[in-house]
Amino acid sequence: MSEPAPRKPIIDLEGVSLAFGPVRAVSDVWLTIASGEFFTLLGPSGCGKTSLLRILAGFETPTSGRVRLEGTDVTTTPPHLRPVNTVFQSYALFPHMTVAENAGFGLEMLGWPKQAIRERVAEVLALVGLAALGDRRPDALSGGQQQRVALGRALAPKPRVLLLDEPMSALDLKLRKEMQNELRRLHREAGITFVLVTHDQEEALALSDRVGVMKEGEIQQIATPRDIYRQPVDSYVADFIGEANLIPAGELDREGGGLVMVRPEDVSLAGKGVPVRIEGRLLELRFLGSIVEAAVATPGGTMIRARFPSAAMEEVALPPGETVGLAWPDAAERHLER
Amino acid sequence: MTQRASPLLLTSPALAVIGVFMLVPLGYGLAYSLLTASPYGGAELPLSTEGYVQILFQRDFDDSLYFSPTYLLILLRSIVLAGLTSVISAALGLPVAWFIASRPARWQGALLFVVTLPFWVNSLVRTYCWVLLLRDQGLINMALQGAGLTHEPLPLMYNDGATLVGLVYNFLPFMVLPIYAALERLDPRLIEAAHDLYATRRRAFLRIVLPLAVPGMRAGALMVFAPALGYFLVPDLLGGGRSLMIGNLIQSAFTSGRNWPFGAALSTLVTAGVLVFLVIAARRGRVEATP
Repeated sequence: MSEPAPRKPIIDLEGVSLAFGPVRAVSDVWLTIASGEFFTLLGPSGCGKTSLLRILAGFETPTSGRVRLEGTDVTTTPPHLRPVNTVFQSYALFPHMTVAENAGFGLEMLGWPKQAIRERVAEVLALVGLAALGDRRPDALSGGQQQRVALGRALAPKPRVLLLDEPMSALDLKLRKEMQNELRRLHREAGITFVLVTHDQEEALALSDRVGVMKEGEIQQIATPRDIYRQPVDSYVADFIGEANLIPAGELDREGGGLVMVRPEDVSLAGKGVPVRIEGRLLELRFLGSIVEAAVATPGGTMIRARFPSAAMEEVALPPGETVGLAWPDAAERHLER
Repeated sequence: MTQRASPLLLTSPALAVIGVFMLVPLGYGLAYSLLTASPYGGAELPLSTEGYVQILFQRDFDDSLYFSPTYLLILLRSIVLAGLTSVISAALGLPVAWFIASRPARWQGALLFVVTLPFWVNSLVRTYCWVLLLRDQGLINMALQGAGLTHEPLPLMYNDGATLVGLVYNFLPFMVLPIYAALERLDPRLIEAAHDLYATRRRAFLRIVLPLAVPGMRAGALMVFAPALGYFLVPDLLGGGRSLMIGNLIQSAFTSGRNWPFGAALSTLVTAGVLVFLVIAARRGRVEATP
């Protein structure tokens, strides 16, 4: 079910499903996205996040359910009548047009006068840092520059919502970090709603106001990055977002079954006076500069990872095979039903 | 040493093929066009430009030359018909190529095979089939009269229209294939992007699909225009005596006309004309490729 959105809603998905023959790509999604929000759909490939984005853009018509944009039912509205623009995964720049012509295409289709198009294109190219490259063809640009053209082209018509389909997946790591900052800046400056699709959880956490984690066509959880990380609803979300230790409740002598989730950075080797939560055999101790990572196998066969500052380890030098006690604060653990 | 010689060595088969099959026949044609016609066919010395002179002029009884536009008109008709063939083929070939390129990959091969299927049947047979369709007692006229739409046969044969139909029919595959090659590379997401940026279907076609199909249409126009210009089978069968093209003129010069130098001169003229056309088209293509 949809969470209460903090601001005026701009997108409402009401029980949206999409089936390709027997395959259900999207199944019964209820989602409200607020105006001006940076919302991210996160999940592994094939989880239906791109299908959901294509429903928002109008490329797919849901098999059932309704899509509302600013309150208007747009379920069957074709893409060219929606005030929504898309940044495609492969950018889909028009190869026979210059950068400026690409950026101005949407405005031209909307029937803007030539002079106004020229002004808006100059403004948008400056916004994405391509002011000097308006006369180039897309194939004369680097991947990062092409990405900026795609962003500029989608932002030029001042859409109500900008959809981004894995926009960073074709960029190398350094460029990706740069573009992430760029996206945050653009979101701030353009002041419009962004809906991003990604499989990169770090990207989702770093950029979004809220994240929807998807699995097999369904949204598992919708929450702020912080809540998704600290309070995942199930082991799937816990495991997908960051690293998680999932310990069967029985091993910790808890009632009721299920799993106990603790993040590796909350687990430490129990020193004197600290109550031991669980004991296990130390498998490996890896020094990673500022932090040390330990892998411990419990008698029940669960592998627990712990990560702590290397300064805390200076007095201890444990050989692998030793039995160690693990500890974590009460607030760090979360009980999951599945 | 062997390292140095190898590029020439490796290209020599290609050079030999080009030499034997292209340059030698062209050279022969050029040489024959500059000889004197012998009375029973063939050509002999002395050298003469009579073959070229005959294209524009005829000799009066007193051996004085006077201008005669007959052959020039045939040449002009050939250019117009070949040009129209290119234009009509492009107009028909684009939707066909688009249809094939937008099918699932497993169907495209089969559909392309269907397009090239006519090549497996002799061109003479296929052209004669058009005679059966278009003649006064042909299928089309019989059907029209049977349906009561006309009371006498329409003159469908032995005119420029019939020639044009035959030419388009013969050369359409040469247009479909290069357009298909251009459209097959077209990323379908470009069309989605155009729709996303508020383009209707019509405008997405005009602004995205059509411009990206133009290189294919240009290549197809070359492949249709050049052979259509010199084709003689279609005008012979469908145009009858009334819609002669340059190919028929060349054919008759070598056969019944027994004027080989004249036929060779016409051939050289057509070849040179097509060559000039190709060079211009290639230049334009290069200019547009480098913005």
